[in-house]
Amino acid sequence: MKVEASLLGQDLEIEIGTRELDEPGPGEVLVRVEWAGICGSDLHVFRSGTWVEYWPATLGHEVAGVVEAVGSEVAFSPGERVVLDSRLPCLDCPECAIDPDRCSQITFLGESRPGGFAGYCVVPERSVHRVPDGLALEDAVLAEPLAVVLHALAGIDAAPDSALVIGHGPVGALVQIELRRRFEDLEVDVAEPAERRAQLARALGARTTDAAPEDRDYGLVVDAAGYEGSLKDAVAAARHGGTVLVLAIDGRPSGLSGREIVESEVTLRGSNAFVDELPRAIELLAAEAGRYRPLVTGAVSLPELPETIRGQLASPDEVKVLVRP
Amino acid sequence: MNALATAQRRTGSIRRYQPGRAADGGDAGKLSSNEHPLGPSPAAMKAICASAPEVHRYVTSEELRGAIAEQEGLDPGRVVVTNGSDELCYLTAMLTTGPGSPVILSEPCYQIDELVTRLHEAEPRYVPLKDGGHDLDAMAEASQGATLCWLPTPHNPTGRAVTAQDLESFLDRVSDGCVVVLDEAYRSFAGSDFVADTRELLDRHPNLLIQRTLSKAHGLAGLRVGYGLGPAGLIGMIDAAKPPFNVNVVALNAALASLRDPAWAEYGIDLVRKERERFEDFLTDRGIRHWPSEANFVTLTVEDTDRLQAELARDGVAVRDGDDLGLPGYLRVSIGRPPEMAVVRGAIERFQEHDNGGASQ
Repeated sequence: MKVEASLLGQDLEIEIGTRELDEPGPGEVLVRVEWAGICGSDLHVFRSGTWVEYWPATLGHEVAGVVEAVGSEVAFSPGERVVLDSRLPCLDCPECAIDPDRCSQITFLGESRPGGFAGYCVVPERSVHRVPDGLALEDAVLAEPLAVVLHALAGIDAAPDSALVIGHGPVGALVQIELRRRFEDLEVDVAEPAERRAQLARALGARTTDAAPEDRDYGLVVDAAGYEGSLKDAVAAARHGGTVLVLAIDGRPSGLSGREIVESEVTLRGSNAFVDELPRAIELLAAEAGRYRPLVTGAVSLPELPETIRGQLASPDEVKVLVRP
Repeated sequence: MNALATAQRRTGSIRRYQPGRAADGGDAGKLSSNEHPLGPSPAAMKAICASAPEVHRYVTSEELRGAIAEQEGLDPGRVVVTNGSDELCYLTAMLTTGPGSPVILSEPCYQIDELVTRLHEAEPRYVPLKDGGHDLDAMAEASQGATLCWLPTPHNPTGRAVTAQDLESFLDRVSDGCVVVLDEAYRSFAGSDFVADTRELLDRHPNLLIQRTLSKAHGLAGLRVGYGLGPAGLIGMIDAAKPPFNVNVVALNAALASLRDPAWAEYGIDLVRKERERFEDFLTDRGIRHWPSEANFVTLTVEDTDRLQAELARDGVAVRDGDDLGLPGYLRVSIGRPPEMAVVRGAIERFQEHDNGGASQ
C-alpha cells in the first residue's frame, strides 16, 4: 500500500512524499499513526544521518495509533488503540536468545524500518502495547520517552539531597517531572539557556540558570543536554560522592579526566533507551496524564514536519512537538 | 403582590446561562468554556490537597485579599475577594441598580452581565458592537444618566480588546454617576497595548471597578475565585454586602499558592498566545473570517456552523455555538493544548475540503 510519509534522503533533505508499505506479514501489525513525537535523537539523525539503514528513511519512533490490520498469528485486532515500543531487537544474537530486551544488535523504529512520521507503519507484534480506555492517544504517545526516563531513574529510590538537570528538552523535562512525582519536596534546579524550555522548568517548580553552576552542590546531576563539555560540567556540579546520570548522546570527547572522577568520588552512570519500562509508563500516563502534558509545546501536521524540523535544528526552543499524520 | 410573583417578574426576562458542552469522546477536548489548557499549577494542587484538614473552619479571605493588594500595589481596603468574578457581578448589580436603572451593555454582551441587570429589573441600554469591539463613543454617550456600565475587555464573546489609550479616553467621558465595571477576565492574554496600568487607572477614575478572576490564567475555574479592585468606598460597601465566608478555604489556599507561584500562569499564558497566533494565521490563510483576539479564544464565522461543529465533534472537540452567546453564525473556539489545536485545524481542513462552504467569506 502507498502511504503518505516524511522522507529523509541521504543528502539529509526532508520532504513529504509517498512510500510503499508492505502489508503486515505473519506476526506483524499495521498501525494507523495518530500521533508521533519528535525526539532529540530524531533531530540528531535528521542532522547527521547516523544509524539509518535504508534510504529514503521515514523516522519517528514515538508512536501512538490504531491497529488497522494484522498479519497471521497476531493477538491484536483492528481498531485497538496502541503505542509502539521503539526498540527492534534482532532476535538472532546470543543475547536475544536469552532476553531480546538485552539485544546487542538492537535497532530502532524509523532507523531500520519505516517509522511513525507517516500515515501508517508496520511493526512486529512484540512492539505493540494496548492503550487503556481513558488515556488519550495524544497523551499515550509520551509513553516511549517516559519509559526512557523511568529506565534512567531506576535505582534512584531515595530522594537525593539536591538535583540538577542540565538540558530541559523532552528528556530533561521528563526527568524533572519524574523526580518531583517521586520526591515531592525535592528541589530540582535546571540549567537551560533556551527561554521556552527554561520557562517550562520554572513552571514545574525548578530554579533555572542558563549554564550549569560550577559549585559542587548537587547529590544528583543529570546530563540531558549533550553539548560539548556537558559531561565535564555535570561532574563539576556534583558534590563529593554524588551521582552523575548521563542520558545525552554526544560523541565528542568530554575533556573529562580520570582524576576529576577519582577525586570527587562521583558515580557516573549511563542509561540507554529502556528495557521493560514501557507498560509502567503507560500506567503512569493513564493515572495522571495532566502531570506530563505541559511538556508538549507544539503539534503539527505531517506536511508541516519538514519546516518544523528545520526550525528545531536551527533553534531548539521547543520541548516536545507532536506530529499528527 | 406575593413573593412568587416578584420572583417571576425578576426572572421572567432573564436568559438562563448555558454552560459550554464537554467533548464527547475522541482524543481532544472541551474547547467551549475558555478554560486553562493545562489546569491548575502543581503548587495549587498541592495546596488543594493540603486544605482537607482545614475544611471544618470558617475562613475569611483576608490573607488572599492582602496578597492581591500587595501584587497590585493597592491598599487592602481597595480589594474585595469574591466567589468567582460572577459573584462580583451579582453584588455590583444588587448595590448599584434597581428597577428602571439605566445600565449600559454592549450587544452581544457577557451573559452574566445581562442576567444580573435583568434580575434587578434594571433597564438595559444595549450598544451594538462595532466589528466585534465596543463602540466606546456610543457607550459614553449612553452612560449619561446611567448607573452602571459593563465593559469586558478583552470582550467575551468576540475576543476584541480596548486599547489602554481608548479606555482612558472613554473613562474621561463617562458620566461621574455611572459605575464602570471593567471586566478583565482575559487581561493576561492581551498584548501590551491593551493592558492599562491598574493603579493609575483606579487613582484617576473614582467610578471604576475592575473585575478579575483566577479562572482563566490560573486555571481555578472550578474553585470560583475572583476579585474586585476599586475605590475604597465602593469596595467597602461590596465587602459589607457579600456573604462573610463567600470563598471556601480550599479555593482560598489554592488561589494563594497560585499567585505566589506565577511561573505556571506565565507558561500557560505564553502557550495560549502562541497557539492563538498560530490558529489565527491558519484561519487567515484559509480565508475564514474571525475577530483578532486578545483573549484565550477565537471567534470565527463560516456559512454552515452546524456542519463545522459536526466535523469537530467527529474528533471529539466541542466548541461554543454563537447562538448561546448572541452571535448566531459564529463559533467561539477556546485555545487548547497544541495537540487539541492541531485536531481543530485538521477538522477545519476537512470541513473546507468537503465543499467550499466556509472557505471564502
